Amino acid sequence: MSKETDDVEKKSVIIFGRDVSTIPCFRNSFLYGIESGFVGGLTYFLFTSNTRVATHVGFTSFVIVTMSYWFHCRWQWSKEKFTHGQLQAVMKKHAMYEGTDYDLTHKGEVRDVKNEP
Amino acid sequence: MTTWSCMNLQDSASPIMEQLIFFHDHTMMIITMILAMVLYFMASTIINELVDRYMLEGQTMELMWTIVPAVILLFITTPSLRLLYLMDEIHNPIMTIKTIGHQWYWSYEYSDFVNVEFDSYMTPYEGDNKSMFRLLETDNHVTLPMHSFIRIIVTAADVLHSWTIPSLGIKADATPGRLNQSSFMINRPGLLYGQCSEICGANHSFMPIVIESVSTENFIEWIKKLSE
Repeated sequence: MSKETDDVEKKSVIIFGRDVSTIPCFRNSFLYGIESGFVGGLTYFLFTSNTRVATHVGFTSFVIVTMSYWFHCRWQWSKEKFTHGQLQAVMKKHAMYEGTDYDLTHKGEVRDVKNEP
Repeated sequence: MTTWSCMNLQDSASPIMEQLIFFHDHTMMIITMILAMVLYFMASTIINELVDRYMLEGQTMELMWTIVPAVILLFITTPSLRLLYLMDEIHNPIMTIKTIGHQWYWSYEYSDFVNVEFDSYMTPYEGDNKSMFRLLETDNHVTLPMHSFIRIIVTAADVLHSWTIPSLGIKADATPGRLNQSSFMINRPGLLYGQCSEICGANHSFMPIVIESVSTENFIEWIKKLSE
């Protein structure tokens, strides 16, 4: 799954006052959806020359790919966000407890390593 | 606060509101795709020249249009219920404030401290003062510490009111004779605006709420001054 931290600079796209480029997974969902709809419809048309059904195939693949990518990406993103939140909380606690008795890393502590149990 | 032509949710000032915005984005994507599908079906039906005069039923089609919406609803329900129960969690609030709605102002009591009570009236708009927000400013702000879990108990003294702060995702009805509890945590400093959200008479639109989120040290200084 492609990461949401792309190197490509996202242009702001304002829809009803909301910059949708800042919504995680939005840009990639629609990109992949539109691409797959176009490719799917065109491929079907090239093989069958049936424009009506090719349009149906194109639209159906657009909907399915967009929704599938969206659900999968949002699920992964929410798990990642939760992990980031846990990490941030741990880092905050570590910064708070550094140098105290609660510091689990014992950073800056002078220890007698030879006589330690 | 909301500015002109803002049809969306305000930027979040609490983790719960952040989650609400994520849920809104998720559901809006599903709704948008459903809308696209329905419009496509309608367009296909309009341009369709084929007619089946003897069609009475379509078992497969009926099965699909029952199961697919149920599955879609599952994808909406799961995060919705998760968020609903998340909003009801209480994480050891460090303080409790009481809000009482009156016609037409709010009064606040910080019962955890001594002698900290005040009323909050709307500041009348001065036409030539460009630095104030019309119908949103108050004479006394509700000063609260950020990054601290706070419980709020809302009630009313006369008629129904509703204490609302959109950027915190809070809307609690103020009912006479009833105490409604809500809780929140503000994760950034600043001014958070809200307005009464239950019709309560002539000046219902003129009883706003302003929360001033400050650091814990500044909050302690403010409480000390008020308690004197």
